[in-house]
Amino acid sequence: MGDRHEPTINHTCVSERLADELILVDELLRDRPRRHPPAYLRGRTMKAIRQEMAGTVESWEPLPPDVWMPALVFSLALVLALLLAPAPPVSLGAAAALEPTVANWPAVLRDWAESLATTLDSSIFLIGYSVAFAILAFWGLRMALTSWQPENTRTLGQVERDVAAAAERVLRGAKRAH
Amino acid sequence: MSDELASLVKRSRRGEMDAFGDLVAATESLVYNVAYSMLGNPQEAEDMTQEVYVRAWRGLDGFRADSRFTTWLYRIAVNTCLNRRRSLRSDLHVIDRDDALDGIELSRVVSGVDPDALVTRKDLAEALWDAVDALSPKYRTAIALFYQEGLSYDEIADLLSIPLGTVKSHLSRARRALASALHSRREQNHG
Repeated sequence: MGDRHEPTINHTCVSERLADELILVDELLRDRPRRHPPAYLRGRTMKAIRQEMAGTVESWEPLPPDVWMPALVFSLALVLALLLAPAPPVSLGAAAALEPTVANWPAVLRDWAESLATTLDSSIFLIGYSVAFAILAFWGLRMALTSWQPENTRTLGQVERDVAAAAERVLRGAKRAH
Repeated sequence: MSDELASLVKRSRRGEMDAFGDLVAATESLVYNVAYSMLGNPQEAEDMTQEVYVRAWRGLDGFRADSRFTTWLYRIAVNTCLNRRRSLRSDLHVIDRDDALDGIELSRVVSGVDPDALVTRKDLAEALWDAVDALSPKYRTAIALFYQEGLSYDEIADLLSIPLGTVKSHLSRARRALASALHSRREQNHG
């Protein structure tokens, strides 16, 4: 009789033991403490949200000065360089042949530049022109470089990677077409 | 939703950052624990906690005042972490493994504890909690939401967008695997 019931008894023992283990696991899991987030996390989170807000506001505002100032200075330097250049880089005849509007510089500005050059001694005019151009160019470059952020480097890197990936896809497509 | 949380949510929706800061303080532990259980990595949990609150801030206008704020936050947390897990899987070619439940890995985790030290209930508990961290993410998540966050089967099913039966099966399989790991450890200890 004992032999006949032994498997059942063993099975019952195993089940009982498993039930005990499961009850213990259940109890221990209920006692499991919560993990505590690090103290700095809240500050970091709020900073990210403030940046998010700032980004949203910026999209409705004109470009910040650290972007438009270098652009303006560079444009100004370029315009001055073109207007005050002692010898025009392109002859008016050639320019007129290419595009009539290029030859028609604003008359007032051209007259002003010519009168300035004739009034002043040519050497003083050249020195003044060079100094003004150098100062404006230096100012523009300095502003552009000081406003460069680490994110710009990352963005630039991402753009480079995207361009490389696109070029690789194009090349692969061209090879396959061959 | 408690009156205090409701008031903070209301003020946050008006754009009051201080109120949202208090809301973060009140619920941060909840989000962090969910993120940790789903991703199993403190650094990832921190990043995702931050991401969850940025998303919550953006979507605050879409929160319906008649629902529980914590449930809404859980949903954002779970979705954000699921997305993160998918991207990690595709980056690192990591897959959810059911074999993490065959007891072998869990036994190894529990076996890593000095046998002589595994005598008190506290030692046993710590060994088991380490074993929970070795479970595969879906089981770990179910365990965390049920035991730590105190959510019901229905709530877990709703949050994870899985059938109720699957939640029960995940919890049952996880418990059995943990029980088996503990058992084999105790056998070793007694043997």
